[in-house]
Amino acid sequence: MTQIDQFESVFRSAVKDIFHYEEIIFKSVMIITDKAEKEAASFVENVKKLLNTIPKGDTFSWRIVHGHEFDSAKDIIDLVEKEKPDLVCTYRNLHSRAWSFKFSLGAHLDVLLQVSSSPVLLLPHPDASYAAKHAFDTPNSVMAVTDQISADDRLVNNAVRFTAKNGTLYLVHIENRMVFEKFIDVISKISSINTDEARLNIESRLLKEPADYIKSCIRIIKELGLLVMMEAVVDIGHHVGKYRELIDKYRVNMLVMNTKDDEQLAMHRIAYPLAIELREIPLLML
Amino acid sequence: MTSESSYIAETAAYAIHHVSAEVTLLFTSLLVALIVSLAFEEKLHAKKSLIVGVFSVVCLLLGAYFNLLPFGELTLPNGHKIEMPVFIPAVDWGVIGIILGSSLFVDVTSKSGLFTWIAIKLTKASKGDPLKLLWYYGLMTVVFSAVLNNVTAMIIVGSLSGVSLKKLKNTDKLLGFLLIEGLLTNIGGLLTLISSVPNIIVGHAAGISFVTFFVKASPYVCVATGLTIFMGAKIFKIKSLVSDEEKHAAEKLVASFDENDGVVSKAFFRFAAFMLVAFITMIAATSVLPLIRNLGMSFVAISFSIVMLIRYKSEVDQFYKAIDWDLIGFFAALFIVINVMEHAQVLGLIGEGIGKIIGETENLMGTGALLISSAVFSSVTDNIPLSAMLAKILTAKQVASSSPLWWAVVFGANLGGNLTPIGSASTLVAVTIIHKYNINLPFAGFVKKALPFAMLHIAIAVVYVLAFL
Repeated sequence: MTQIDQFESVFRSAVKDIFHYEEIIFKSVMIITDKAEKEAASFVENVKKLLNTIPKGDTFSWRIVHGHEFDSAKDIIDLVEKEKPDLVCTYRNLHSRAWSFKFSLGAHLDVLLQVSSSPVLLLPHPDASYAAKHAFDTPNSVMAVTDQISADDRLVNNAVRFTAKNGTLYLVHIENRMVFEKFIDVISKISSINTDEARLNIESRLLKEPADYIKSCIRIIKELGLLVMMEAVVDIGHHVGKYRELIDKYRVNMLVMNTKDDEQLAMHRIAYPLAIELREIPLLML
Repeated sequence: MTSESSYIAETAAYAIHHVSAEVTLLFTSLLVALIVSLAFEEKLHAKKSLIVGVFSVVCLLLGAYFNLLPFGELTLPNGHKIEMPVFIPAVDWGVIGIILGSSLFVDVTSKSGLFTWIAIKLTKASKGDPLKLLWYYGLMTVVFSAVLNNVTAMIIVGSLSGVSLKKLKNTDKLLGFLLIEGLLTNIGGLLTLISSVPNIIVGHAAGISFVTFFVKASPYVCVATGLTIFMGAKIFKIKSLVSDEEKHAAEKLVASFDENDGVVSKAFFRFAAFMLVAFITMIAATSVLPLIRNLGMSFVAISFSIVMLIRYKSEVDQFYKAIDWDLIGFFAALFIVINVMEHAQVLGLIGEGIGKIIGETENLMGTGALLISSAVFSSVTDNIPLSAMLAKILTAKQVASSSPLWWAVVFGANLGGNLTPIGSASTLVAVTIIHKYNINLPFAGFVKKALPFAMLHIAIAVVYVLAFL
């Protein structure tokens, strides 16, 4: 019954994820630094400046955690779980000098990002010279990585709230070229499937769904009259390279992405390499 | 009577010659074997066209051996004589033309996204309320069955039911929806002359016009549809949503359907909608339109399909590939088998049997008995050979086109499909979709659930045919 499958495909294709907007208000932000109060002052100031535009509740408070308040990853988790801030701001390789190498986030961050339910804003290390000049500027060019989970309203809502008034939010979906080519290679060895036709159909289908969802995000944000400009980028490419290219092209000063992966204990497949590679700008990790 | 049915009457008259009882019995046993083979089509793992094709070859060989076939030149209406293989005029090309043209037309029209657009619009109009959805899908099944064909209607509505109930997290209600839709395809198949193959064959043989057919069948279809949906909702406990929270959540879920997703070109979409209305109008008016009247419904169906194919002029071969050649081959072979059976006096023998059921003169008991026996027979095997055979027998008996006997055959052949999952192609599609969703419904399970509905349909049909037709 091929026709049943044909019509089911038509109807399945007609079911589209629609974006639902939700207002996000921040009541408390925790800034974690491994430095003493005096040494951390400049970093804290930069963070406050960066977050100047986020919507804050009436009882908004800052909580600054200094180096002497924690030692292990468990100490940080206990702190975050106890105080439950709406946002945690910190940097990689806490209590370590490994920040000079582009290989890890450090033990504290590896655990915090997986365990904490609070979003984490990962900032360039205050001692490093690799921070982009615009890293602590008002976020008027924000990019959201939407290719991890389809129809992730939470990701888009957060990205919208972090984008400064009249700033631009880029909703980017990049399908992995290597994975795509691997499947096409398998298809090319199956005589009953036309390879060119399969390549064309799979590529257009892969890109259509995220494009439709992003379209619905743009439409709804526009209807709500929020002062955020939105642009869609949907393509196939080599993940990290493509993101780096787009970040440079649009002079992005904040990247928003998901870190949780329901299927595994480690960080989401694309989130980890991006977090390791992209040290120059703030990364909002949900 | 149409030219085809006149031809049938002439050939029936021609066939009256002496055939020994042994030869008639031999061919009768071949007919029984054919019907049994069709009933066990799934077990044989063979397509209908091949099964009947094999029987048609055997019948032709035996027919030639026993000197039953009218070999010789064929005289055309203008007096010209032409040579033609004996099995070519045995096929009712008018019926085949309608089926070929209509299926091509529907196939190309569905590419416009028109049917899926209607289906999704109705889904959204229901706001995700299960009871409303059942009524909308039920009515859509009937209309689609009437306008398209039973199988296409079941595929469209059945596949949408699966997708939308999954989206609404109501898959526990899927069995009820699919079963009711399957039963309704056979009700909707009664609505017009072109809705099902038995209608085309019997209507053609009786000379019933499209409009007459619609006017006479529609009251029954309305009542049976309403009762089926009402009864189905009670039996399968399909109720309306109560709380505002549930209603809001369901409305949000169905809102994610985009009716325009399948519409590739708006211009072609509008053209397809116009052509569909024009097609139905033209088919309905065939018997009264000058020129068209003589060319017949098959001309209308084929010419409309050709006009639609212009949109896909460089890839028409794809549509030719999609034609159900098994069905077309099945018809052609079946007409040949029936023609040989006619020459072997098998139809005469069955006609005598039917004569005993319906009586020497038309009477209520006989008509009712013909309807019920047609329903029972078509529940276990294909209703097409049954209707083709009965149409030929009634034609040979020179039954008037206004006789309720024709309607007994039409109602019996269509409604018998609701008794078992193999009774009609559309109920088979419904069962296939049910199994696709891993719902356990064996043969006996289907009969148990469908029996109350089928009994109701047949009972109302008997009363309706006897009292009003």
